[in-house]
Amino acid sequence: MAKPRKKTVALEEDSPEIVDSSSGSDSESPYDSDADDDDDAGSYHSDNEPFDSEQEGSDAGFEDQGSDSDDPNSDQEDSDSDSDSDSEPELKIEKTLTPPPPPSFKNSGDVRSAVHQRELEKVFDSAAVGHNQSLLHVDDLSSDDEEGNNTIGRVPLHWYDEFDHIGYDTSGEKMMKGTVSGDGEGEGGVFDELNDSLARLNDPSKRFTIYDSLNAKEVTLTPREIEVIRRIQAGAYAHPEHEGNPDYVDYYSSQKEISGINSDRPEPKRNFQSSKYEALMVRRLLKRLKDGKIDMDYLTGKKKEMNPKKEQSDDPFLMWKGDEEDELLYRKGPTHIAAAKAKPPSTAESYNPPEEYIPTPEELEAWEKLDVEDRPYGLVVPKKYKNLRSVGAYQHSLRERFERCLDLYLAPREMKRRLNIDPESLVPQLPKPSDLKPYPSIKCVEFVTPGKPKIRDVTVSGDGQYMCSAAEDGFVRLWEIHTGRLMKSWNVGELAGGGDGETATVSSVEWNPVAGRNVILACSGSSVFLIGSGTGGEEDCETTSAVVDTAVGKVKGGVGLSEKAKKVVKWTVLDGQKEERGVSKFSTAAGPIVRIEMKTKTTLASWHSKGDYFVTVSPSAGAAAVLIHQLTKGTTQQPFGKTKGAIGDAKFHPTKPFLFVATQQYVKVYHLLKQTMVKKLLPNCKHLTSISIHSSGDHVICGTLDRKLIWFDLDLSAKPYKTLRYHTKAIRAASFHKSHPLMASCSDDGDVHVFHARVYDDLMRNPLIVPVKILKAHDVVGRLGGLGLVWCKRLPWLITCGADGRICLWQDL
Amino acid sequence: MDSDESSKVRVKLVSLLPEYNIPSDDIAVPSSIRRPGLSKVVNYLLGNADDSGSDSDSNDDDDDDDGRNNNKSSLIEFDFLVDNKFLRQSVEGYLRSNNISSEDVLRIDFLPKAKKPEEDKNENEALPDWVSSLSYSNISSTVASGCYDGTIRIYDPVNMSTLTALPCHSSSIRCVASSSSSPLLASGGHDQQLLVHSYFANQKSPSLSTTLSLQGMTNSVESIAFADDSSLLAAGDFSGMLCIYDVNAETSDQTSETTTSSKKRKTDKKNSSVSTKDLSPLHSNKLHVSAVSGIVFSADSKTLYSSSHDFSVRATDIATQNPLLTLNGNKVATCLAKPTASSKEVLATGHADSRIKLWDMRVGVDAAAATYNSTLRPSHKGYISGLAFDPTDPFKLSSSSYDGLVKTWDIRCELPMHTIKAHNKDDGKALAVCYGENSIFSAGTDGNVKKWAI
Repeated sequence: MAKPRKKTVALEEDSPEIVDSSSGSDSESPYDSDADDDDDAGSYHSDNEPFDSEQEGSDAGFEDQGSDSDDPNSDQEDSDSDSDSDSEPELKIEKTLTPPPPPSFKNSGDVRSAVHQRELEKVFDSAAVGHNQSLLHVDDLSSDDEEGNNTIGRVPLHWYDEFDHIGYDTSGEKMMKGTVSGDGEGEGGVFDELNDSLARLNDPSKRFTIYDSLNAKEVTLTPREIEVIRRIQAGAYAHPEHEGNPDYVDYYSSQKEISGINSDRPEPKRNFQSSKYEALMVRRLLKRLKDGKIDMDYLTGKKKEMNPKKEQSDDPFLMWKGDEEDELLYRKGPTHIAAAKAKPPSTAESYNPPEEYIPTPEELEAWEKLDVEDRPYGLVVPKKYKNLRSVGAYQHSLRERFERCLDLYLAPREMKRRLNIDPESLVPQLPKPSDLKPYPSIKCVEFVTPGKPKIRDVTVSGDGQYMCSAAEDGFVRLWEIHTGRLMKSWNVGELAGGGDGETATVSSVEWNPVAGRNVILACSGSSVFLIGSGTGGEEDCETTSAVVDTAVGKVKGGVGLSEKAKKVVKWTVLDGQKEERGVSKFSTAAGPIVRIEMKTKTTLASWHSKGDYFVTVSPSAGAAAVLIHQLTKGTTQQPFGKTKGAIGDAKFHPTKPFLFVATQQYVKVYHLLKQTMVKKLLPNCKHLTSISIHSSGDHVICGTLDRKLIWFDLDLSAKPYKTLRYHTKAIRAASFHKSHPLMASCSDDGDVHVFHARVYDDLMRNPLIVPVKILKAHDVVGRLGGLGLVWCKRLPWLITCGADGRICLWQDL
Repeated sequence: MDSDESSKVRVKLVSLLPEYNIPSDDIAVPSSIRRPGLSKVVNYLLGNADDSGSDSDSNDDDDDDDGRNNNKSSLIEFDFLVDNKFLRQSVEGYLRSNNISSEDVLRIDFLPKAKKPEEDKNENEALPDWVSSLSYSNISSTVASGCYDGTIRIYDPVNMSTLTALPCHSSSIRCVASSSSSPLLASGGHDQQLLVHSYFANQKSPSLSTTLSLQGMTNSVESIAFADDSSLLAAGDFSGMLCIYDVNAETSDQTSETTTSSKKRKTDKKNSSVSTKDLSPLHSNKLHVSAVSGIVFSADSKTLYSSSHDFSVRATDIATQNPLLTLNGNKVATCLAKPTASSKEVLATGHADSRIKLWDMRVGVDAAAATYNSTLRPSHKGYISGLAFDPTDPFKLSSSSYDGLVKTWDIRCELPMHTIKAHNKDDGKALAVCYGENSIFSAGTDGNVKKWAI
């Protein structure tokens, strides 16, 4: 930057003038007039000036003025501050003196180029003289414009074709064409050019002379300019002086100067003092630490946040909020439910449907009578077209569209959530029936009852050799199980009927569960008979006769019954029947021995597992509906003062002094010693028919007339553990096997359902109930099918009896 | 012979009986040949005339054409065994199922086909009650039946006429057994009595008298067996009690006093003063949990085999009463039989589920003997009520079942040889079967005792 500064010295005299002309514009005159007082006006000036690329040139011009101006720093500042120097008194004076040039030429750029031109000339002059080489560089700064004095600016020169002048010089005088030889574009231009070229050939100096038509003068290129042009054409640096690879001058080096700038400055004091800012921050942290707002974990960075967002606040909140999908769905208004898709067109709507779609006239007639919705294809009548081209406009289009829109508008929509669950996975994993063998599956022996009466009940002897059946013809029959042989039959119905030829049906039989006590209980009419079966070995017969004889003795003695019991029962010894020979040689008592007569019809008698007590049920006897009798003492007790509802069944608990009494809708469990009701089971059914107690005593199954088989786990609840609804008709009997994990139920539909019913010792495990077999056991006769069933001792064999008069033994396969 | 282009198999036919010896050369036969075809081959080799030339080879039905062929022509029907199993399919099928190369020479044994038992009609009236048990005595050549009315009847096996009857039980008889060495008959029934009777084969008036009443039974007697030398009798009852008696010792004891009397009786024909002695068991043991359904003695009368409703088959040493072997099945065993003609310790049991199982009872053969080693195909459709081995042939077995049928088996074949519709009228059950001299006797719930000639 030092070089231009030197050059400006040479321009000092001219520059005020030039600036005047530029600043003498009309628009700026009001500011200029005020400029004496107001320094700020200069800023406007400088802003408005279109310096453009001539910046350097103008710098050069103004800097001189700046040196005279008030601001001493002006020459060190950049060009913006230079312009402040416009407010000089000389400028104002000059402005008033100078007449305004024609507006069209008022271009400060032209002014500037004029300055440069002059500059150039001076430089050329000095160069010719052989002045300082460094001056040569001036042309670099203004190499763009080599204009002369013409002030017309950059207008097309043909504007001046009609005039004899080419423009105006700086003093406002016309610059006449042809002032220089060869006035450009004259009439005889051709000859002129010829002459020119000839002249150039002759005069070597003319070779480098070009005509400046703007300034109407000839310019002779200097050798330097020629050199510059040549270099530009060659694509090299324009300036011949330019050095492409200048020597490196390291102004700064790594070597520390001993006495360089700031070398003697001592370390600042702050470098040795603790930071006050840091002290402030430490104090703050300490305060927060003291206040408990932060802790050391936070300070050491173990914890990112001192107070992470609390999961649970003490404020009441919605516990399930956000958990439910519904909530999520409805959080921002109701979910969008997509419109139901329109039905895709069917084959019938094809333009060329198969023949079978095209209705016959009769069909068409029939369709027309139908409502539109009932027609097979709605409004569409399938029709065959030759080609798609011949299909006309769809006549129902508008109607269908309208109806669909109406549907979409009126019909409420519902989001149907489709559960994506494999239905198979919902089915509990049950073991295969084949893994649960043995269970009865095929018929082994069929017992043929003469006359085929309905068989009400069956029971099995303690050793599993014999079976007893209760038939509606009044007979109790004794059968050999393995052969199906009828061994004995006793007509107790005749005895119960009262001797006048009437026979009562036998409704239930039960063999004494104690092995060796071959006594059968049979209910017929209003009586319960104790029947000696006459089976068993010598010891068994002795036991039986001992028991029976005691009872007979007590009854004969008439000591057993209390006054209260005497009102409801009457024990009688049937002497006449006793002489009958039993199956066994040793038997002393075969046939009905004792008759216990109740007031009303007695339907059921059931032994206690110890084989001494038994319970009888006379549903319509009111308070005496349930009676407990003792065989060995020949006594009867009436456990209930009153009974609610008709009693259907009563069973003893196998081990505990409990009595299960089934009314029509409940099963009540009574503690016989405490004489209280322990539990009331709610099967939720209309009519219970039978109950069976599992040998563990903790599980009860109930058969009901409304086809349900209900399993109660007494430890679990008074509600059913399982309700098995497999039968299609009322269940007549249901029973647990004493030793095998089996259970069976028989129903009026004639089927017997066999279940694997495993009860685990582990109290935590629920019983496993698996249906394993349906036995098509009995025919339905008069809406009755299977009536009774009993499990064989020890074997997984089942004996069923039914209304068709058959008794079947089912064995495992 | 077939002149098929089908593949041929070389077989070597060997006769099991000396009278049918044929040249022992290998013969090439069509691989699709079956029993009738092979039978023709053997007949051809034997030089038997083929009268019925039009008889087709493809007639595989075993049961249909037996009688016709036997009657009409001199052709003998043969049955063929390969590897001790009866050939019941084509040779090709046998080779394939047993993975035998068809290039090997296959040895085929043959023997005359078992005849279908024919009913020996008799005009005997049906008994009034079920006949639960049968027993053939080879000493007196009589058949004894136990009836549900408590009567024992003795039949002449020739014409099935009743020789004598003895109502001795107050209730139904469950089992009878005849001794093979003395004219003794034992019977047991629901009345828990176990009686031993002596049969006096007087030509004019054969009689049966009860000689012993055996004590110790605690429940109805389900099974009785005499040892071969007749010195021992074993009986089992429904409660699982098993008692062994030495009836011979007792009778020999008696002989001193009663032989004369019996002789006297024979001469005097006075049987009014027949005394029945009580006899206590030598051993009594509650061996089974449930009913003892069958008892047999081993050939040497040292071991007792018993089957029970408690699924087990046991071998017990008689002298020490030690259990030798207990084999547990999974079904109720309802009857037991042992081939008397062989000393092999093989037992057959019948089961409630209509199966017949064969048991290897060799003591000391472990693992393999732990269960039955083969099961005959369940051909019956009911509870197997009786089993009997042919006393002359250790392979021949016959069975009776509650389906009313009697089937004859060869234990080398899984399928029955013949089926006899014996007692299946009116849902009748066949309850007992026994072998006699070239005959089978069967009885059932229809009260008939039928004889089938074999």
